[in-house]
Amino acid sequence: MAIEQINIQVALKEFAKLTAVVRSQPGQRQKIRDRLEPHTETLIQALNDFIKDGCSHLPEQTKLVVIADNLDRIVPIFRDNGRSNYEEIFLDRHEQLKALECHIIYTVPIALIHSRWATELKDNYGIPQVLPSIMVRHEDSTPYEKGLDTMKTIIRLRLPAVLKASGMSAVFESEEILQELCLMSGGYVRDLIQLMQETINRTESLPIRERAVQRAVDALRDVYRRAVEEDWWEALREVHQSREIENNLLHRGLLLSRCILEYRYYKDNGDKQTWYDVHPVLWKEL
Amino acid sequence: MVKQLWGKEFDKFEGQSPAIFEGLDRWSPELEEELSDLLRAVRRKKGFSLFFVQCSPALGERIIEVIRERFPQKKLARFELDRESKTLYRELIESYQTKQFEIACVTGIEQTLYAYEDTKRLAGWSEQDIYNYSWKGVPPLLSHLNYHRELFEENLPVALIFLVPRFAIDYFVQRAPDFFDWRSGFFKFMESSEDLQKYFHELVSQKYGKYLDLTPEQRMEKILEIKDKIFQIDPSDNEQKSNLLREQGRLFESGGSLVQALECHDRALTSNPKNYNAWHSKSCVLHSLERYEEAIQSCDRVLEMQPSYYRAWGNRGKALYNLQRYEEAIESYDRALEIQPNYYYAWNNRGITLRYLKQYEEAIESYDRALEISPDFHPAWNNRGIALYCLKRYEEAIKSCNHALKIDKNYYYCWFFRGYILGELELFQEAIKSYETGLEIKIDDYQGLVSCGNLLRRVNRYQKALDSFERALKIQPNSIRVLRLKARCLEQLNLRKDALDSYTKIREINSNNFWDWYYLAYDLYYFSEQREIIS
Repeated sequence: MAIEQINIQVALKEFAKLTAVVRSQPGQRQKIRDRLEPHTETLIQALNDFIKDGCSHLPEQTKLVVIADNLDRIVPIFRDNGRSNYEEIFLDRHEQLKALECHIIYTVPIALIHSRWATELKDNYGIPQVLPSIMVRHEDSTPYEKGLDTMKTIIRLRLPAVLKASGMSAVFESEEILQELCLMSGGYVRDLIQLMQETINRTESLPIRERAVQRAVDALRDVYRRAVEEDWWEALREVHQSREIENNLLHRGLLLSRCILEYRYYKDNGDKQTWYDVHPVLWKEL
Repeated sequence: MVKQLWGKEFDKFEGQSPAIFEGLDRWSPELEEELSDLLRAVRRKKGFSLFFVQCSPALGERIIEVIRERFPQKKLARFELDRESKTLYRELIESYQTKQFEIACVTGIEQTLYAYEDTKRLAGWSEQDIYNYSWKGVPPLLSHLNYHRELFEENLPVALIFLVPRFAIDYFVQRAPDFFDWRSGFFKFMESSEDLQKYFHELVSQKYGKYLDLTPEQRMEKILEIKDKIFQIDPSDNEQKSNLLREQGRLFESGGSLVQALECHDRALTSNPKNYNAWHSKSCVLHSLERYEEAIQSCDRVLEMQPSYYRAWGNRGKALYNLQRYEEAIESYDRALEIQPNYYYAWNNRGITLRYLKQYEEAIESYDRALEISPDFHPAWNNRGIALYCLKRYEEAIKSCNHALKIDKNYYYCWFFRGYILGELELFQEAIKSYETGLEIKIDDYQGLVSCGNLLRRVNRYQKALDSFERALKIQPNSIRVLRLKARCLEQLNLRKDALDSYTKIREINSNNFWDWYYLAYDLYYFSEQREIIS
């Protein structure tokens, strides 16, 4: 394919093709990347033409937002010179990443926001927004009902129609069990779903009993425990005590692996308060 | 996000009582519960679903059998990966198109990971900062799984079950979290205590020599297997844990990973400070790390508990010898030999120590004792030769060397030493031949090359001598002694300009050694004089 002379119609088709190739033959990614590299400028131009064209068909007062999801989950790879693929992606290429003429949301690995590159990240993109975990407990560890309600709603909305009518009491043996499940997720939605799934794996017939939740929590704990090297437990204990993190490699790594979760709330006077805690499944290990 | 919506599964709630498996009375209640969970999850899922089952390979086979028995109406396909596997999707889809299976069991993923540097980290206990660790990238199979995720879901409406050992799950969690997070379930099967006991029993009888014969990948497999067992034993069983850790340490040691080995032994000793075998193994590692004082302390710990542990006395002697505390070393060897008079290593080492004390006759007696017990122990023949040489009994010394070389003709050091004695006897041709034989075995031995070159020079074979010195200089380019020898050869070959270059190089190295300068001046003096005569 000739990338040199791209016009919008061709571009559209070719992009579709490229996407298809990347999806069906992921092994070709590197090759495609290498081929495209010299043509980045042209591609961005074509994309912008495409965006402009798309926007012209939007209803008035409507704007386009592109969300590049899952970039936060890129596994870090460190080069011999100490740089990481994060820096290569988000900092070295910031010009290109910002070149699209629409709103665009990139999900960055949380570790990058807390790293020595934070300033550069801010200078290039503006202050990054952190999507904290949903607070299921207050900073003093007592359950936070509003957050718990949100978690429960997420579960309720995913119930199959037959069960929606009969409500949560038909699904969970008791309110406490549901509460426990939500608390154990740490307000992290992915884990809430994972826990729910493992609970169901471990339930023969409804309602869900305490033991099933307990075993699902054990399974999740087992996964989290693996991300913690033995001498990191001390650091986790400290975070659990102080509800604070230090800006160092270890804590950034623990944030990335979600062994430490970040929470935010607004105080009565409107001040934003940020605090941290160890993922609740790990508390038992501290 | 997790793509499997759990909501769908409620349709299939059948309210049936927990499965009871025929002929599976060997499953413990815990295993049975985990197994029925797994079977239930597999039964309920429609479309693509991904399960991870942590188990030992043997247990994995049994689990696959049970799945087969429980779902006779479903087609099950087995996929065994090996060290070379880099892809899985293609194999699955090709097979799926012809066989239309509903369940795919994949084993052997761990095989694709053994060669990776990360694996070594996961295998040990070394507490290095994971984020300072230089990752050697993600193993091809894991990136393959990460990249093909979506294709699996779109095109393979099957239950995909990975049966993997513990460390492979660790690997997934750390290096392919996206793929792992897609799981519809994670199940963990522990081995029964009888199986574990059987394993311990087999492990304890292993000889260190056996470990040395392993390939790096086999060794890694074994180390990980042990680590896996450590996680399975009763945490209060410190004795067993300590034994396993020590075994792990010995495996690391046999592969030359001394730091990891030491870490294992230290942990073994934290678990059970009374594990004198671990103290002993630790002393071996410390010795290899040239931390002799600490090695001695470790030996002392062994001997406090087990005064008749003669190998510890032997190790202690060796460490003392390396600290040049020869008298004490002899005492230690004597203790070892009191307990075990057939410990020929100690007789040999005792001989070496005596030689340093210039007690050559006694040294020879010691070597003779070693050779009485083990006539094929060639280092003792060589050492005996050295002692005889020191007593100027050259003929006997050469005979002793010949003996050593008859047993091991690749014992290059002995070829060199033999050449050296022959040189002293001015049997230059034979001496050179001996050196050359040694250098065929060890082509880059600096000392061998220099000595051989010197002999060649003495019989006026300057060109050959020059070759020898050049080779030595490749190994140690700044050796003033060799540069000087080289210059002299060049002079003899009338290559004056090259000789001068060699002298210039010596000047550039700018040694602090008075003698270097002295010889340089001396050489240049004669050199220039000769030049004047010639001109």
